[in-house]
Amino acid sequence: MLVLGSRSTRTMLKEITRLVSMVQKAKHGEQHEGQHYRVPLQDVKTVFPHGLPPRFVKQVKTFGEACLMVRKPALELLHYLKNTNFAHPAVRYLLYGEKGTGKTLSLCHVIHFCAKQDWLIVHIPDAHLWVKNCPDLLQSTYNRQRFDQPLEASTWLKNFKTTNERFLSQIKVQEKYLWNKRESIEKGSPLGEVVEQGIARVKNATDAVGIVLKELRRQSSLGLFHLLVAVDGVNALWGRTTLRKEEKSPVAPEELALIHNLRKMMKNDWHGGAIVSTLSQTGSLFKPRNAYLPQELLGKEGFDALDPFVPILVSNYNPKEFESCIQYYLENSWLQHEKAHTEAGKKELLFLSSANPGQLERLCAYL
Amino acid sequence: MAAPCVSCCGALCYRLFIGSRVTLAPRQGFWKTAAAEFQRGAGSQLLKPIHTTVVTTKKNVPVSRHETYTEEFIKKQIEEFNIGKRHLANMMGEDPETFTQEDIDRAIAYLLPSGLFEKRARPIMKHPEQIFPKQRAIQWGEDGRPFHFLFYTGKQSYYALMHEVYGKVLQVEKHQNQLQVKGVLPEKTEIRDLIGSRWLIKEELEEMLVEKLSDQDYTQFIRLLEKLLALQCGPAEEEFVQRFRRRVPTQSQQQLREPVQYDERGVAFSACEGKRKSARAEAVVYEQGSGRITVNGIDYLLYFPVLQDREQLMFPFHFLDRLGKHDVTCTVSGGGRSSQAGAIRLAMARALCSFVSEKEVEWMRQETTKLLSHRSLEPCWWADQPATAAWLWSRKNWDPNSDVQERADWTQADGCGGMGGHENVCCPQRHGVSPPEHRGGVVSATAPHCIRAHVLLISIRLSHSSSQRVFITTTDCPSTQVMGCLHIPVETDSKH
Repeated sequence: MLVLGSRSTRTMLKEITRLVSMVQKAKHGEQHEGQHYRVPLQDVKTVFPHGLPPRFVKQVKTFGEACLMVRKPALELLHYLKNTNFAHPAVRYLLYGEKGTGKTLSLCHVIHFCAKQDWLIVHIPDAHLWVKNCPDLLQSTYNRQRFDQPLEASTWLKNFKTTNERFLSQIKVQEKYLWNKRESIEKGSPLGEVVEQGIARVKNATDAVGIVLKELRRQSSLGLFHLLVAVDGVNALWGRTTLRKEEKSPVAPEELALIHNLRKMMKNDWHGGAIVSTLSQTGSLFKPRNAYLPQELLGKEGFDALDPFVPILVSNYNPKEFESCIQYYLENSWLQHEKAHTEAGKKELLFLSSANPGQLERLCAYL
Repeated sequence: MAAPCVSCCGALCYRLFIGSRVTLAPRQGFWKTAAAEFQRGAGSQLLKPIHTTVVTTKKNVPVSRHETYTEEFIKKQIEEFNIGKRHLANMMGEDPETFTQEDIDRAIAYLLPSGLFEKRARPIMKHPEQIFPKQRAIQWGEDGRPFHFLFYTGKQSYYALMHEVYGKVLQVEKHQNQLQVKGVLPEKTEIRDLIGSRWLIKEELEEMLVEKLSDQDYTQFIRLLEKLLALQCGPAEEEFVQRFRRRVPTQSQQQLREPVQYDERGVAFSACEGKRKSARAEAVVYEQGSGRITVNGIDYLLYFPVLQDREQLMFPFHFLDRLGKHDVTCTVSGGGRSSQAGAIRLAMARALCSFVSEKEVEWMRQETTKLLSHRSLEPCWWADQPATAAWLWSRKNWDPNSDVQERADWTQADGCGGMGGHENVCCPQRHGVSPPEHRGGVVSATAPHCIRAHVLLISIRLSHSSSQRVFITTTDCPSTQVMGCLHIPVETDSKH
């Protein structure tokens, strides 16, 4: 039965199924698999200004707290990251799996871990947003062949600034960049200025992004900081776009400056960090619904570009994780149906959602 | 009333019965004696035979059901029937002596095939006793004295029956008392097959007795019979009681259980088929498993992204409380998303029967009407053909002097075609693809293989066009298609 009792009993129940937060996060291990841990809301604002899936954001707002489940793929990835050798070129990790299995949230888990370890996070929440539905395409001043996307670039720069505030003053630009005849960035000025310029002058935002990425790549090799490049929906970089030029011919991804710069970032010719990415069919263009393997979603070009990488499969809940998830919902009084806590009800939910986290979440929303 | 009539051996023509009784009155005006109706409560008034003609003033009004037939008339009908039966047997090349009613039915169906969906409207040839309602013969003799001793009770047959049954009850009781006195215990007779039969309903009893009964009469009668049954009566009484019981069609014992098979690893499984609408599915349910379902090689979550379909799949397991216990592999084809889900559900339910005890199967069948049986849409039998867009004529655009092939006064309307087809019966019978030249008639002819062809008649006009086109459409196809098109050269102004 749902315990609608005092606050203390509720918190007590929470303790049983959950592992409480920050300090112990570095020590997430095998025994914590299936348990939830709470991310402080402050962290959510700084680390994830744009990273969480929209449904999860709503859930955070409803429950008043952000709880992520510790799962095997994330644990595996954390293990690899803990043992990275920063002298070697950046290793690419690819999270793949069926729709709704929890790839994006695993990525967020990893990002949070790295943020707590003081890494610099370059997080592109959804690369698909950069290849579709952009009404404004400007021809790039830097390279006549390419196109700028001012809005997307400036939004991203704002979020980047929120996440990595403290690094922006520390990192210095190592080259002189000319915006136009009158404005320029001198060598040695902090990166924050570049970002400010990109946010203030929307026209130069794309170029600012390019500069930021280039500098970070260069400087992480110097060992000043650890760089984590996290891209969600990396298959957008090598797919097709729905954008068209003025003469109605389609735009190839390479012709977009943002994509071009991001592709350079994904190359493992730098060291001092790691690249973690996710495949996503949900926002992808021109891909069949049941495609989830890297070969299918990336295509030949993308696969060759990303090769070699470490694939990590994210699958549906196992029984323990499923039980834990149901318990979490019950404790937060999310499941109001009288049969939800019974064994029979749980079996029904298991069958109907087939242990898929996304489906389960949608199903429980009705109960 | 049409009756099986006899002609000479050469040309045989049968006037056959049609289910509803059609009046002969305007043609024959025959006499009836009012035997069935007599005034109640008016004392012992003798009734003079009243001669009336059954003449209906309105046309096409069916004669009331209370029409009575004389005994001679019925006798004549029976004779004619028997002779007709012999002739029919002759025609079919069979022995007239051993020609049964089933043979008659088959012969009639062969000689006069009918595509009518209503079985009662098809030609039948049955013994007059089954066709004409049972009549009461005249209950009193020439001197006015009634034959039956219970005539003045009003319901002589009913009371006679009650008297008989009660007599039997008393007899049985007396017999049992005698046995008890002697010390011989009556043997327990085994339970009779009361399950598969039911008592006569009131209407059937009324029909049997040719008398009107009230509800209390009926209940009393049944109670008495049950009392008789409760005492252990002998075989003669049993036979007597069985006359008042009718067989109930037992559907519940019809579920077949698929035997359990074993595959090469020794795992028990059961395979069954199911269908719904036009989807066909075959499901293989394994006894041990963890609740995984694979459809056409794809996981069911991916194959049925819609929640509703997955709920359908869940239902058989949920009903039997075996949600996570079986693995299923199924193949499905045809139909749409929802009917494929329904077909798989049916197949799984049938396959599960073999893992489940008999009692549960019974319970399954009783609780749910659809779980183990196949239902499909009834075809539209009330309309000639499915809804088509009818042609509308409007006077506004009508130009009597124009002879253009495509006329502006005929337009194809969309509204009429929307309904299920029953409107077409009321619509003027215009079928075809192009607007008719003139208001044509539709002729339907039944062909032996039940395909009705409506041939659109077009009356031919002299002035223009060298040939007229006649469209033939089939009505038994799901959509009206133009089957063919004849070109008839114009010669005379006659209707074809």
